[in-house]
Amino acid sequence: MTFSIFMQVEADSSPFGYIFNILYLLFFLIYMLYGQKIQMWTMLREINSAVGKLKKFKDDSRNVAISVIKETIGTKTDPTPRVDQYLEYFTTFPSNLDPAGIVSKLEHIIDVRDTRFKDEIKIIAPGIDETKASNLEGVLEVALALNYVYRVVRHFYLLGKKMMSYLLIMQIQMQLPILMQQAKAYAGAAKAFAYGQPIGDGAGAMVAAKLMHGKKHREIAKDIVATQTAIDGRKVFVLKAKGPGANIGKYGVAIQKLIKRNKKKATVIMIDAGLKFEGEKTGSTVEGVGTAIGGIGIDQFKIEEAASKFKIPLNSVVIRMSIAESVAPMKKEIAEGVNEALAKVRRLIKERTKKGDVAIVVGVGNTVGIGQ
Amino acid sequence: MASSGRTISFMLLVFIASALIMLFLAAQSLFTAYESYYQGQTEQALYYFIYGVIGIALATYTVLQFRKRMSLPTMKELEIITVTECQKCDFKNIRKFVKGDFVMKEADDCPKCKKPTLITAIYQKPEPKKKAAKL
Repeated sequence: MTFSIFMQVEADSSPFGYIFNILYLLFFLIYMLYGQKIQMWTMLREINSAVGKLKKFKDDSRNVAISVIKETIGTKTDPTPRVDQYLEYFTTFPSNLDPAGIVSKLEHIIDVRDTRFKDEIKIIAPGIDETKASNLEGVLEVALALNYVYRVVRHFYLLGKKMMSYLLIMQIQMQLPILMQQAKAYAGAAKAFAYGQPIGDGAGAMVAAKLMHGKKHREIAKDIVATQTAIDGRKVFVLKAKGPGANIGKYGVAIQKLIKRNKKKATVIMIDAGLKFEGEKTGSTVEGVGTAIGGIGIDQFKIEEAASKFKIPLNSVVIRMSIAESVAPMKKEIAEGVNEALAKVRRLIKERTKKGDVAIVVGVGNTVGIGQ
Repeated sequence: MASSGRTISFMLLVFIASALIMLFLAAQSLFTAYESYYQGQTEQALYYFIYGVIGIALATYTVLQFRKRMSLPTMKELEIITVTECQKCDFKNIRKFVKGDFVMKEADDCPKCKKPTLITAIYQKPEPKKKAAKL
């Protein structure tokens, strides 16, 4: 059949030949003139399906939060409107036109946010215990983050489509694989917080928990517990956020207190989850100097300020993982890395301090599912 | 949102159809090139051949572009396991995570020395390893 059509149009002089040649040239023109538009439609289709997926992630985490609340307070009142209100909360950051003193302003805003969120949880789920409240706050934070990602991607999708702007569409399409990977990790984290399972970020806290276990501890700053112990003749203070609820705590204030109390004889050793590059092994541990702490920078500022004032050395051990792994339920490799990091901390105490000195060991990270 | 998605899909279908027509025309051009060559019209054959090859390349590239989809992550139900260890002997147990478990919590008694075991780790059950190129 096809062969006979070819035979018919084969001769250049036949009417079919002319029609086919004109059509052929026409298609070349279409491809040349509308190539970019075709590409835009392809990209829009990809973004459209990603927006659908993000919506599902967002709704799933919202539903997890609602079911956790219903489990706690029963089904007498519907928490959905209050949860939806929570998911739209925003925080504005202080003006940095005059950066002097911005850290205290930033800390104040973060404190207000934290108090507001905790109060909100007490209103949504009255009578909830401390651990469950922290975990519920974690679930709601995850849902809030996913809601924000969804809104941003949908905004660029709709704006790009409305304006048919290649630049707008392209920039969101190019970031989609990373955004989607992180959104997936966050969606997994919602369940981890709901069930109280440790996440990758808790690796540092887990090292501290292993050193603290079986010893008396007390709260020395907001949501930070400390234990005093002795390792190889050194006085060791071990710090971590109060578990097993999803807490982060005020490390900056706690370390400042201990440094001021012990002054020149102290050494700080921090353990935290650190970002790995592609190709590097998840759970591998490395050592370095400086503060190993993430977040907005308030704690880092406070620790560095106190350490530089009293010339206290800052040593760090980092357990490597990707951003997605840090918010997802902990992987086996990371749990194994915790034991490796613990051995490094013990060695550092021996090598970096003398007998009678003070070592401040700080296990940094979200302590969901990790007690002490 | 759904209707805008349908409009985009319709436009893309139109372009896939046009790419397929282009593919057919390119094949026709190649056939003409073959015929012309056997009739001794080498110059005309070369002209049709180049035409055909470019057409096939363009159409194939377009169709493949439409087929290629960004790999969007899918959610899998994760299996979480709890590791309990005895602090006195070397007994170690790995079991499914139960709500209420947390690291450093005292768990069931050790079957050997009857002392409570300790939860030492909670993590995702590892997936079977895929072969990856070593860099």
